[in-house]
Amino acid sequence: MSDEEDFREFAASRQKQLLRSAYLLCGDWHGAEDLVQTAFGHLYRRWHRVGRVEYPDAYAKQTLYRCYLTLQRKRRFTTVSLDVAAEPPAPDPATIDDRTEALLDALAGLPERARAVVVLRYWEDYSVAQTADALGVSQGTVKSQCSRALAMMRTRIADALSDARRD
Amino acid sequence: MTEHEADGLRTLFQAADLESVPDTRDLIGPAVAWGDGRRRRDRWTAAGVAGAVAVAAAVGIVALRPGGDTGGVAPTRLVTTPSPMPSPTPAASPLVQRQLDALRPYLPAGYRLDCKHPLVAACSLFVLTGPTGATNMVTWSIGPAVAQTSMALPDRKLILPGTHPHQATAEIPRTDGAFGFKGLAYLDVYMTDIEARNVVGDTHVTDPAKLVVDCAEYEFTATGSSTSISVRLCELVADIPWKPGDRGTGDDHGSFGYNPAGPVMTPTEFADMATEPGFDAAFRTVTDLQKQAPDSEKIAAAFGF
Repeated sequence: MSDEEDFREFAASRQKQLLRSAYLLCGDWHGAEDLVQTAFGHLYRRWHRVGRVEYPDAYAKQTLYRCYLTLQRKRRFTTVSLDVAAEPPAPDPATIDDRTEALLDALAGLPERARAVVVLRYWEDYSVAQTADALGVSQGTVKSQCSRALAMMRTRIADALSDARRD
Repeated sequence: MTEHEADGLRTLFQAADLESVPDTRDLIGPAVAWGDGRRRRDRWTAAGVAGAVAVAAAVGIVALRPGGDTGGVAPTRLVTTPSPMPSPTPAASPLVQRQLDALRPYLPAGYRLDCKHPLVAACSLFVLTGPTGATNMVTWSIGPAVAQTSMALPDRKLILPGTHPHQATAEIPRTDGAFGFKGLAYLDVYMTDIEARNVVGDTHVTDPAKLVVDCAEYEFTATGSSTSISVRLCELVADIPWKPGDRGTGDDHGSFGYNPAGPVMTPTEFADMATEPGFDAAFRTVTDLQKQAPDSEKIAAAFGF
């Protein structure tokens, strides 16, 4: 099997899983697609190395999360005219339930690294050490980011859910 | 947030309705196309870096054996810019100073020749510095290796004891008509070369399985000249790959204080210098002085060998 065929098979089997993680990071499916495609590009570029790692799934996830942080960092310094700046897409209420919407809303209020930490810890179920390894930061950073992020999410989720119950 | 709240958040994540991933556009095809492009670029970058290192490695002058006899004619073209460092250190021996004085008039403008270890009677390591600050190592055949009988081959190439023939891994960029390149390369196994650490006795050298030539010797004949000039070119490699089981000694070039920042002397500049009337005689002076040096062992000690 050629290098490309091998990669295509791997990417096709992991695409949905990575898209879900990317959706939690980006908050919309279009952004998630862009992120996954970027991560796939980086993975294919280094595919000869990916083939040698013990856990290619973990490598792919790490690539995705690091791509997310890199893209966010680059976006921070990009100048966009207000005339052409697109509105961030709102989640489609018809397709997601209240709890998911509350979760996405709370995640959207987090800084990008805190968001990545929370998704890794509570969606991917990574340990503190694994999260630190995936993001290339210290375990202390993961703990502090996680603590602050959860404190911020607490009120947002509670408010969103109580609003939903009232409605 | 308490552990209970963290568990609650984990439950919220698990219950999130993310099963229905919408149909997406083709994500893999464009990623492969982008990755292919980056791979090509990576390869070109690697090739460019390797080429730059090879060019940087190529020019360093050493151990010239006098070719044609020009009879010690004084140089007709003196340097347009005097050497900025006329003397390496105040403590340089008279012998070293005579060597430097003999060669410096022939250097192209902006070049500098210094002795790295001037405190011993002879200098076995010269450093050539170009106008850009790039330097190259210039070693000489000195001491017992020269004193022993050299073996002359039919093509006038001298093979000194302990010298080991190999294919060179770098080529000198050739200028049309400037040089005839005979392409014979020899490993230097003298005491200034780390290859010498594999030498058993005086004449045998362990053959490295994977070889990057450290110092190679070429012979040039300037167009229209009957004079052949032998030059040892020391490649500026960061590491020399040693075959498994051998001593993995890094390249000692760094400890000699020169850098692989770029080519030091172009073939054209070298051709101009080497074909200068009187240049052969100057080199003969240098090599004669080198042979007179009685303290090659001290030089070896200075290098830590």
